[in-house]
Amino acid sequence: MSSNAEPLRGVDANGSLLTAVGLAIHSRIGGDQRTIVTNLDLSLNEAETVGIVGESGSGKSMTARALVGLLPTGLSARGEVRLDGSNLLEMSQRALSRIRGSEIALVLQDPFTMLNPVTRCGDQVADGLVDARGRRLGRRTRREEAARRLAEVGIPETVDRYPFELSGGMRQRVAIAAALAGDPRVLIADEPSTALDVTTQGEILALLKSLQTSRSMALLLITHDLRVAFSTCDRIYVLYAGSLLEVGDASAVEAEPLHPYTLGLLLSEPPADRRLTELVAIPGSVPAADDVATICPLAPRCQWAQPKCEVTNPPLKPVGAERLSACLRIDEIRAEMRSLRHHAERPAVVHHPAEASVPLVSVDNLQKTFADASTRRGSAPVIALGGVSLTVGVTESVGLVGESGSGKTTLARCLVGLETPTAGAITIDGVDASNYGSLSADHLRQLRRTVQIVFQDPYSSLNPLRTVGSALKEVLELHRKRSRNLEGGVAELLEQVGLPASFSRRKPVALSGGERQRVAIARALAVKPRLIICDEPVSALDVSVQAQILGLFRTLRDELGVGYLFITHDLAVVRQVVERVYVLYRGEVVESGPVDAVLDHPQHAYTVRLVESVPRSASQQRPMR
Amino acid sequence: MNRRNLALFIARRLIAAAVLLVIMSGAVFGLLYATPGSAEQVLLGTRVANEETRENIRQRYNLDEPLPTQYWLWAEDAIRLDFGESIRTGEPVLVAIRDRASLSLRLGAYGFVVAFVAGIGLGVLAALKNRSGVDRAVVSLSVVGASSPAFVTGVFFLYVFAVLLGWFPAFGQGEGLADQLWHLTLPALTLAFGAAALLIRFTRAGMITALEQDYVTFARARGVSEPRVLFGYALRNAMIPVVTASTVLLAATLTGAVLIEVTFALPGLGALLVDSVAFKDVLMVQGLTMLLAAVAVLTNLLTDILYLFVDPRIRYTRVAP
Repeated sequence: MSSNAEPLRGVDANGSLLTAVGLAIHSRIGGDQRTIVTNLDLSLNEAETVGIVGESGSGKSMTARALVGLLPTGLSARGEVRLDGSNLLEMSQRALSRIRGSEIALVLQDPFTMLNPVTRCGDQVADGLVDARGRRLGRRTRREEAARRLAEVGIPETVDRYPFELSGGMRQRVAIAAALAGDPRVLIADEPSTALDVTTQGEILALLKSLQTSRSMALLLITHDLRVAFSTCDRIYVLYAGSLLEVGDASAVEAEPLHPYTLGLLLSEPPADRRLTELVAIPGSVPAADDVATICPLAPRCQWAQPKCEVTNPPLKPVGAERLSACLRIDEIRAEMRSLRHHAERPAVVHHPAEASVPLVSVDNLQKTFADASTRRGSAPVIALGGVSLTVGVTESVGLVGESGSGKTTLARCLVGLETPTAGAITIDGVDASNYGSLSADHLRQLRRTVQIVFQDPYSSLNPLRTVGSALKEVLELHRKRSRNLEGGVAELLEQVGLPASFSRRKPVALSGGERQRVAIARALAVKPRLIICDEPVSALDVSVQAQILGLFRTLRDELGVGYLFITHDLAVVRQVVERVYVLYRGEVVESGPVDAVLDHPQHAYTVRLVESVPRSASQQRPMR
Repeated sequence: MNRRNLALFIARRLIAAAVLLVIMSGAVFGLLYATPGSAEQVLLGTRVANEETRENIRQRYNLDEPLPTQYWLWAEDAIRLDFGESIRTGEPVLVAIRDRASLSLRLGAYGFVVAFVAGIGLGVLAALKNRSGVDRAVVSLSVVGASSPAFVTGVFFLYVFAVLLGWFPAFGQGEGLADQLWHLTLPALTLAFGAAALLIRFTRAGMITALEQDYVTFARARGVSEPRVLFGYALRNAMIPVVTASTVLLAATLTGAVLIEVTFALPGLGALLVDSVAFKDVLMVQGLTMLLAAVAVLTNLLTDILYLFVDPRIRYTRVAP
């Protein structure tokens, strides 16, 4: 933008379209006031894409809600949010309702809950349309206009469809079309791609970016994923426990983060294009804003923290040109941070274990068909697995990559006997495990000792009524009858997964997501299994915690020699943990081989699509090796 | 929507309803034998018991035939809505029912409309003013409504509005439309009170849930007008459980109506049923019970079909053969 151009409508002297000054969000439940966000300054220029990056609990979603005046009941915002010179926080809901849609609109995260389930898509898009005098359009014009808007997002055929007939990606497109119906100048998108499959994520981000350019609208993208922000945004705000820690140009932040948290986040999110020697994780988990109100919010988790970091909550300060950082010690530690990053990003060589003569697990032409009970319209049964064959060697880590609907979870459940396959054979450690129901008690015990499973959601996989210790003790008692020292066994298990022995007295409710997943892993380890099946074990966790758990998986493999069957949609996770990979698409293995070969030189069209959908910024887009 | 599937769905429901009616007709027929005393004596009622009348009765009601044949002959007549003659008055049962039905129908419709308007209106109001004084007042009212039997509310309304205030007549049907409405108001209010209480609860809960949904927030976030958000988005979804509840509601209204007609001395079907039971007029009771059962079955059928139109998701999942 040239500085001597006519100032645009609603743009202030600095060229900002939307500004927040000293925005603070509090919740009040009973007499208990809690801080969600404090002292947030933000500006968004005409035709600019800005990212707010933060983990869950950072306050990023509530910031988005506050900007459009739609905080949930019990939450209130103070400060200033200026659009066209007026403070949105002081406006009545009636006045806000006129601005929303035509000036500013918000797209929420979950396409499965965002659309009215009982109204056709075209009607929902048309609900945001008004004529020049602000009245609803006539019936025919509404339909035509809705179809035109849906064509803009690439799905004109959905006008007369209901949301439940569409896939997540299509629903998100409908939502975007609906949000843009009133031609707003500012679009806020809260994690618009997070609930979607990997390949769809990329498409939605590309669509948002192209709409932003073609409409020269300002886009505020809320995300937990730094890489998504780097690939889409011009500027980035890093939010942590309700405070901004760093602000800067996306490319500059990517080149050199100027806050230890940004660096930690960047390193926590492992790259998909190479394996790292060491996974650097930020220890601990995200604190509540009030717990770190008077100190540097990162101090309890920061390796560079000093006593002076625990005196005040440091404000953002300029570092060089156009960069802001809230780190007090940034000038002192800048060199160290640079070398840590350099060190952490060294690629590692994948060690393939010597080819085992007999695989531990072999799956031959496995098929699983579900009756039509839960499917719509179809009397045709659903084929979840259409003849899958794979092997896992002793101490080998194998990845199974696929999106939702690929059958990956069905396969995992068949392997541990939670589902009975329709046809095909499973052999585990020489035992025919195709039908768990027909196995003798001895064989069953042998299988349970060989293979264990860790589920995706640590919030539902632990019994909320039992302490960690009693859950672990139960497994120890069942499988190690001779062992007398159960307490010692529990402590040892907890130590293996990096938890203090005192955790055995806690109940799951007192644990964070990462800690729960550690307990779930400890429970699997209790029988000293040779293979752990991990079904999306980190996808329910925060980014900074994900890396801790991935690191734990690596450590356990090195120390205990346990192998994994790692089921995930995330290529980065696969790259960091496994040696061999199978790509599953609609119930069939479409490609398999060593992880480097498959991810670097994908052969099947679907694998190519998967690999290409990993977000990367301009600087990362280098030619294929 | 696939028309063939819809037709199949409705056909299946109709068959199920028919089967249900047959089972219930068996039970209704059994009433004759469940009544104390022999069937002959019951049917004889207060008439003089000489051999001739006895023979007439046995002939007329096929009492000499084996039981299945008796049922068959009874059911054949019942299909043609011929339930015999009242033991008490000698009037054909069907005629007696037809004469009384119009009043009951008007009372039921009046009560139902009042219940729906008040129930849904107050439910929405309470949800919008959630946790305020208005909300608490509405919820308290619904608790009172749900826990007071119709004859208690009826007597209370009579005492307050007819006796103390004199706003409404205490009994009778009235002449002409306006006068009839005026006479039916207190009974209809009594009838609506309990039903509205249920509707308030369902609507309020449904509305509160719907207002918290993402689709409502998203509609507001893109400037959809507030009336459209409230009615097109929130209420539309909140109504889904209300449709389910309306079957229960109708059953409650029907049983309520019986007592209300007696309380307000209205000569409707309810009063007829109570009188017939008191006089052991079994044939009349059979006719009335069969009618009520048929109404209940048909309402259930209607609810199932209505459901398809309220929730398109059901149309696509449940309708599939």
